[in-house]
Order: sequence, then C-alpha cells, then structure tokens
Amino acid sequence: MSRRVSRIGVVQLALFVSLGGAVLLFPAPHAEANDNAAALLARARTAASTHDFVGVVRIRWHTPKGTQVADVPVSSDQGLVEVGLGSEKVVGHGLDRWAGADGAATLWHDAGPDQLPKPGTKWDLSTTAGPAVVGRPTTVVVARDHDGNVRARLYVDQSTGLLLRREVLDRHGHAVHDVSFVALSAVDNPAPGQAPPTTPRAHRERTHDQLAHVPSGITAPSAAGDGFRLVGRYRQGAGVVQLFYSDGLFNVSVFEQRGELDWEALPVGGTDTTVSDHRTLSYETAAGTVMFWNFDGAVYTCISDAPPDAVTGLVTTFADASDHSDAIHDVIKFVLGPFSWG
Amino acid sequence: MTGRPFGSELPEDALSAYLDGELTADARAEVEARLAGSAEWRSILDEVRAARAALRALPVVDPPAGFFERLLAEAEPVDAGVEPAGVGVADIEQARARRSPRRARWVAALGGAAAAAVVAAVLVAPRADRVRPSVASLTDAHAVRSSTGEDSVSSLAAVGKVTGFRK
Amino acid sequence: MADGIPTWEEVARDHGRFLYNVAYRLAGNPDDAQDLVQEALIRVRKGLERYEPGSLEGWLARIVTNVFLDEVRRKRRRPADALPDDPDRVVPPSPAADAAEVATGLSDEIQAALAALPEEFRVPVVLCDVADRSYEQIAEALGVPVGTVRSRLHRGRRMLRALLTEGAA
Repeated sequence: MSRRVSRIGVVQLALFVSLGGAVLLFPAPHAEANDNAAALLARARTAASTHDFVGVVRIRWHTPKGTQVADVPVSSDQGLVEVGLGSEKVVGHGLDRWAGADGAATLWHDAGPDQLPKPGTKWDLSTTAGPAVVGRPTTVVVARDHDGNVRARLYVDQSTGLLLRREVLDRHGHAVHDVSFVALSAVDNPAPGQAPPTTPRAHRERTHDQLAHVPSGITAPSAAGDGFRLVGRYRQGAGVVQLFYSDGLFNVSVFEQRGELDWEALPVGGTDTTVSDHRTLSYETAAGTVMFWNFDGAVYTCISDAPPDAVTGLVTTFADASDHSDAIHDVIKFVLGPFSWG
Repeated sequence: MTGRPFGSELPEDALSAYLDGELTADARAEVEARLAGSAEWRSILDEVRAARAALRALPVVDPPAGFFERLLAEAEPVDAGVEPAGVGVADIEQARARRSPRRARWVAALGGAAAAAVVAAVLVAPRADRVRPSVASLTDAHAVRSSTGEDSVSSLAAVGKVTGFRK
Repeated sequence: MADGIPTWEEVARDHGRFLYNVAYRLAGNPDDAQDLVQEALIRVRKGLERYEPGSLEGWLARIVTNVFLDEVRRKRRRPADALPDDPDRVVPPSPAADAAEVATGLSDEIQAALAALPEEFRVPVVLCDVADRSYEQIAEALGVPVGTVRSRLHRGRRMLRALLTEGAA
C-alpha cells in the first residue's frame, strides 16, 4: 500500500512539474488545456504496456433495439498486452499484434503512430477531475467540437495514466459508444530486470502493406469529412484497399473494393440514409459505426469509433470526389508523399 | 499475468496452489518466505483467498423437482435398443427436444427457418460481381491499425465482437 | 453397476445433484444446466466416455465439462445461426450484465461474476472450487498441462475477485 501511495506522489509531482512547464510554454489558457490533455492522451497510449494488470473491459453500444454489452478480459504482463480469448484474442507487444486462434495465427507489424494529426488541432480539449472508475481516481480529457458540444470523454487513471474509460457522444450529448474497465486489479510497474514473457509464435506473418499508390479506380482523398487526414493506405487482400484516416482523437478506416454491393446480404436493422444523393446503410456495433455505400463501381465499408455524424461527413467527401471528374483524377493520383514510412 | 516474477523465479500463481495444497514442502516454504517479506504478495493472497472462499461457500442448488425422475422415465423405451455411436454436438439439441415438448416445437421451427433460409439463399444467390464485404475481418483490421495510434486496450477490445454480417 | 461401470440410472440417482451443481456453475442458469446434465447422462448411457474406476465424481465432472465445452465451441462456430439477420442479437448482453440486474443475494453476485468469467478461466475455477478436483484431475479433464491449470485458476480467481469488488463499489 505504501508503495502505491509513494508512486502516486511521484506521478503527481511529475504531472505538477509538467503542468508548470506547460504554463510557461503556453500561457494562453486554451493552448494550456490542449497541451495538458494531449500529454495525458499520449501517456495513455502506452500505459497499458508499461503497467502490469488483470481486468475486464466492458463495451457498451447503443442500437435502435437498446443497449448492447460485451465483456472482454484483458491483461498486461511486462509489456505483453492480451485482449480477449480464444479465437478472439489479440496479443500486443510494442507495435506488433498477434491475432486469431490462440493469439498466434497472424502477426501484424505496424507503423508507428507518429504521423497522426494532433488532437488539439480539431478538438477543443480540456481536462477536469473525474469520478473514480473501478475505484481509481481519474482525470477526464473532454473533447468539444466547434459548436462547444462534448463529443468524447476519456477517463485517465491519475496514478498510472491508464485509459480507464472512453465515452463517445452524439451531437445531443448522448453516449453512443463506451469502453470501460469494470474490473481491474494488480496495477503494478513491471518488475525490473525480468525477461519478458514469450510472444506467440505466428503461423502467418503479414504487415499492413503500405501502398505507395492506390490502384486505379480507387478513390483516396487525402483529407475527408471534418478534419480527418489520410495517414495510411494498406492492401487487405482480395482486392480490398484500406484507407486509414485520423483526426488525432478518432480513427476511421474506409475499405474500398471494386464491384456492386450486395445490399440484400446486409442484415436487417441498419439505418438507411441518403448522403449526397447516395444510399448508405449503417450499423452500430462493438467496434463503432459500420457504414456501407456503393458508387461508381466501388463498394465502401467504413468503420469508425468516431461519433456517427463524423462518418456521414466522410461519405460526403467520397461522394463529391466521385461526382467530380477533376477531383477524382486528383485523388486517384494521390501519392503517399509526406507519409512515406513504408 | 500468471508466472509474473517478483524478483525471483517464484510465479504468482504459486499463491493459488499454496491455498489449494498443491505445492511441495519446499515450494510451500518458499511461498511463506515470500509472504513474510512482501506486503504485495500478502494482499494478492488475501484476494485469491477471498475469491476461493466465496466460491466454496456457494450454496448447493437443486434441479427442479422430479427432474431426474422424468429423465429416467423418458429414457426407458430408448434404453431397450442400442443407439448408434458417433454422437455429435447436435445431441444437445435432441436432448433439449426430448426434455421439453415446447422446445421440440421451437427446434423444429428453427430447423424450418434454416431450411427456408437455405432455399432463399439458393434462389437469390449473389451474382458474381456482387460484393459482400467481410465485415468481421475488416473491423478487426481497423481495430488492429487503430490500436497502435491510441490506447491499445480500448481499440482491441472490439476484435472478434462484430458478427452477424454474412461473409 | 456391472463391470464396475455405473449405469446411468445409478449416476442420476446417486450423483445427479453433484452433476447438476457442476453444470449449474458452468452454465450459469438452470435451463442450460438441465440440458448439460441430460446430455452428460446420454453420454454415460452410451458409454461414450471411458470410465476409470476410482473417481466417479471426477469422471462425471469431466463428462459434464466436455459437454459444456462442446456446446461453447458449437456456439462459437455458428455464432449467428439462429438469428442471422439481426446484428443486435448476435452479441448478446453479457451474463454479468444480465445477472447483475437480478442479483439479490451474495451468492447471486458470485454466480454473476462467475458467469462473466471467460470459459477458459471459469472451467478450472468450477472444477477446483465447486467440483473439488485436484489440479492433476483438472489437467487431465481438459487435456492441458498442470501449469496451465494453475495459472488459469489463479487468474480466474483474481478476475472474479475484481468483478466482485467492482460490483460492491
């Protein structure tokens, strides 16, 4: 117990020092708030792999039929993060991910997050003292849109920096997607000098294949919707190209393939909307919004943890790009200039 | 998490084995020495002991009155003959059907629905150029890519959880 | 009990309660528990599970565990079978969420927490703390090394404790 108290003290001191530094560097209140929040988010990115723990995470999402829930066991052991079980298990170590049965079917290597946009560019970020989550005091990073509406709350553990809860809200302030620890024990710093646990053996190894050019006929706007920037383009096999967008806080993947969408194969219960004269069908799932649309001989599957209206904005960009031949020419020829880490 | 060493080779799960009397005398002594010197280990031992005690204190539950008698009575005619081997997982559905006429009807109805779905699938089989996005694997690909740019736990939690879309 | 092998009637009469309790803690509800017991007795009757004299309850615990795991695998293989067109129904609310709402007493809370444990952890916990099996017997029943049983059991208990603490907070 005393160890934990002293650790909290060190962390608070470090935070205090960093806050002080931020004030000196960014005297404007807005910049200061954004900076503190960004620092907390940056720390939360790696906290799961720098602290050992066992816990259960609950995903809650809302559909027209009511609230859906899924519980997922998670653990971290000396940098090896395990999420889920059996065929749904993913093991993470650094930037590698093993996914599939027993966490060992496929190894994904991935590029780093360095090139993501800064969240403070689009979002007005602030921090506030939050409620306890799983009994642990939190600092909440609040993200507001241009209109001042709260669109996300991220509850960060004050002592470890671990992200304990992530809440996404719609335009009216209602939570649409929520991922939260419901049980957490044994949050420790890994014992020093110990060999890390062995990573799973991959049966199949693959990388997110970076594409220098998107194939002919694939639309890939370099910016889409409200402040989403294209940060990666990957080949997914079977003619599917993944376009990965980020606004620094939320991520969106647009999967694009040639053909005509088999609308009848989609489950009933989706929300049918027309965006820029194009039909879209969307579903709320454990992974966030999944939206389908189809135009100009291409099928689009968009998956995002962003609020649903952000996804709609993205569709507009794609629809416009497709409708204007000049634009289409530009986007098809888009080359991965600034993002050439592959 | 298990096997996490705390400065020695003694894994943490030795604490459960300690409570269950599954350790050799040497290992017990080692655990006790560790417990004497580590508040953290004592706290974990308390946790595990509490969970173990709670489970062992669960009350004995009884099936509905007459459950076994019904099973015995229903089984007698079947027992006369020898049933074929090679029983598969479908057995449990048959067992359900045998136990409850209501369920039998339900299973039959589901079977009918499944058959209808097969017929429907054949009748409206997709044309070659019709695309059915493989949503489960696409959501996983998104989660895996997202997880390197933000907190890994919240994005990876959704892996394998998006089902219900046809392949 | 010819050849030392108990008949299924003897099992039902003399060990039905044990069988039902293990099934109930594995499945988490009376309906599924009854299905598991019935299927386990069918396997006993058909001689589908090899009997080794000495540990009748160990043998029964193994059978009902196998039935349970077969059922889990069957559901995983065909997760969307029953309602293929309804994405909202495919990932059901977790047992923890369901059970938590109706939990009235302490044992209900423990049962709800147990049901929230993933099967990989729930099975060794039930076999050890409900069926009172040794690590070696559990390892044999599950076909995994004793070390795996030990670590899953320990992790399972810690998760259970964490869930119970959360529920009380």
